[in-house]
Amino acid sequence: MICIFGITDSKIKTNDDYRKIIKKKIRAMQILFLVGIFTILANIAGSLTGLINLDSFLSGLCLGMGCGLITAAIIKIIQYRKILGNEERLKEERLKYTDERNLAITAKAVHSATFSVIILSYVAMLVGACFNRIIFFCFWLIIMAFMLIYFIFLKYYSRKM
Amino acid sequence: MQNKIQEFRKSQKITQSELADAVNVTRQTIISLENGRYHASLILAHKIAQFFNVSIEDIFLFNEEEENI
Repeated sequence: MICIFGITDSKIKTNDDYRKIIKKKIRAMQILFLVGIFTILANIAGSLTGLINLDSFLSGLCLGMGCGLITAAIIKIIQYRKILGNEERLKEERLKYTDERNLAITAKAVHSATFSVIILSYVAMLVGACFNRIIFFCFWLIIMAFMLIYFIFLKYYSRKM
Repeated sequence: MQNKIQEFRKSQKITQSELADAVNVTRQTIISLENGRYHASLILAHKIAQFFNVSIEDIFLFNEEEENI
């Protein structure tokens, strides 16, 4: 599995190193599974007790996301366990995970996607302003937060590298 | 930047998979290197040169005109 954000530990040299990464991922998926369960239970408990007031759309959204998280977590845990049980497959996945070309592709994709989302947020901000100021300010906050975080990381990495 | 990876590989009768395993990259990366679609990092270039027991300059051809020097 290629690292989503193009960040990988350069110390992964052997199958044993990668095995530790896979075990951490399995743990992360187990937590995701619990988050899914919690989302569904919170939704059901909230509806039954009346503590959380969700309309049908939000209730459906919570249930859907909970089910999605549970399903994704189960599928990933099964995949990771299969990888752990097969040395050849483990090596193949390790090479995919650490391969510099894959990391470069992922970094470029994240960069392009981020830039595209910011442009779309700007357009949505302007369009939203015609209908509701809350929508305008939500998108405005996202864009401002992005710019602030971007400059903070720019300074940080300028000093670090 | 052009390279002679395919030339060296074929002269030593090594497959792309074997080379990829030796330098710890995927076969697709070797294919992209040979096609010139991807440029290797310094570390990968060094590993490939070391594998073929030659210098980096023997495998990777630096074109001064192309690089505007």
